[in-house]
Amino acid sequence: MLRFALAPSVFAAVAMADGFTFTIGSPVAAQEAQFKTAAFVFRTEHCAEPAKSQITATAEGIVRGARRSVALKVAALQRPGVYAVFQTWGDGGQWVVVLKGECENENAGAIVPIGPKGFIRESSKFFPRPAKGPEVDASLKSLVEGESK
Amino acid sequence: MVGTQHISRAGRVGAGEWVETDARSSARIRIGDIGSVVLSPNTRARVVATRPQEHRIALAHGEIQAKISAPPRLFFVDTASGTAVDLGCEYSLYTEENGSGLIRVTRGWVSFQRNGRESLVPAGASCRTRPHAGAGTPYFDDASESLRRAVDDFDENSGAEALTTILAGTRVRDTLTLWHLLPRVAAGDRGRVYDRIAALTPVPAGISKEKVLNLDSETLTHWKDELAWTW
Repeated sequence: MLRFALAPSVFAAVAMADGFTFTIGSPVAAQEAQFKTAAFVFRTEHCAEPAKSQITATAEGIVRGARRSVALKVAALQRPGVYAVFQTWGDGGQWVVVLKGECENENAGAIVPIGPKGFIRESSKFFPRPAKGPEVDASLKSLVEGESK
Repeated sequence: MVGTQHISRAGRVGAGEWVETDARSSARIRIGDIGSVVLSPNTRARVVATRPQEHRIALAHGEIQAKISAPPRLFFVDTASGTAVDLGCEYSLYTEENGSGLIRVTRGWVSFQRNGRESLVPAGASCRTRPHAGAGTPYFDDASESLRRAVDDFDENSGAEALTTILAGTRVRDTLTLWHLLPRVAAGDRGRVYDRIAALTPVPAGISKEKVLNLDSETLTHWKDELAWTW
């Protein structure tokens, strides 16, 4: 009989693929005209009752060398589990938006860098847990240094 | 000018009246309570209707910039090549007398329609308009130049070579263009377009390839709504 032991990283990848997470998009994905000026929209994935999920967002930034943090209002769209974030953190400096979600017993997190032309999809990071401080700092550092990783 | 009168500052424009700017002037028209339209120099437009459920202008030639904050489908701009239907948006629309032109959307969506053919243009994208043909195939403004040229070529000539260039040059974001091509290519090429979209981004559950190839309206709309998350 052949026996296999799967590496933990495989399990982690599978769990993330099926677990609670976020998908981000430009405001056009919302299909609701009143959100056309949002910084971006996002939706929850693999949440059994999206209307009951707990979602928070903060803008984390560096402005003239000083670290800033701004709590954001997350606007719910008509479709359950779809939300919008508006830019209320000011124009100067470099900023990322940190999403945190809870759905039943699962958590999700995301770091969404904001560039001159809007959110930077390619540099956005997603986690099966809240984002950690060093991860946020790393994303901000990349922005400050003008890199997109 | 408004009607037959030269206006140098403010005035009122009623239904049926023309507004025309010369080479050195522009004009801002307030559209009820829902927004405004700026006429660039050398632009001629007529107010067709100003009702609560329909604000409509006809653009004969020139360029306008529209900024509308209202529920969808309250503001319409007629041109010789079709009608721009506001879906909650900001956009510029240029047209020549014969209907050749360009629509460029900066926020929200615009639908450009003629004789049942529709192009949905989201923020960051543009769409050419053509006499007797209506709306062209939309593309994002940051698409490669070769892709944009190939799309224009396809719209003009429906060439196989243009389609091959399009399929080879599309990014995930260019599924906007590919989705619009599904009903515009020959039936025998539809599978190639489907396959290219599927190679760029996973096909959502519930989207049947057979239904896509048969241009099932509900399926195409569902797929568009999902693809929009990558646009």
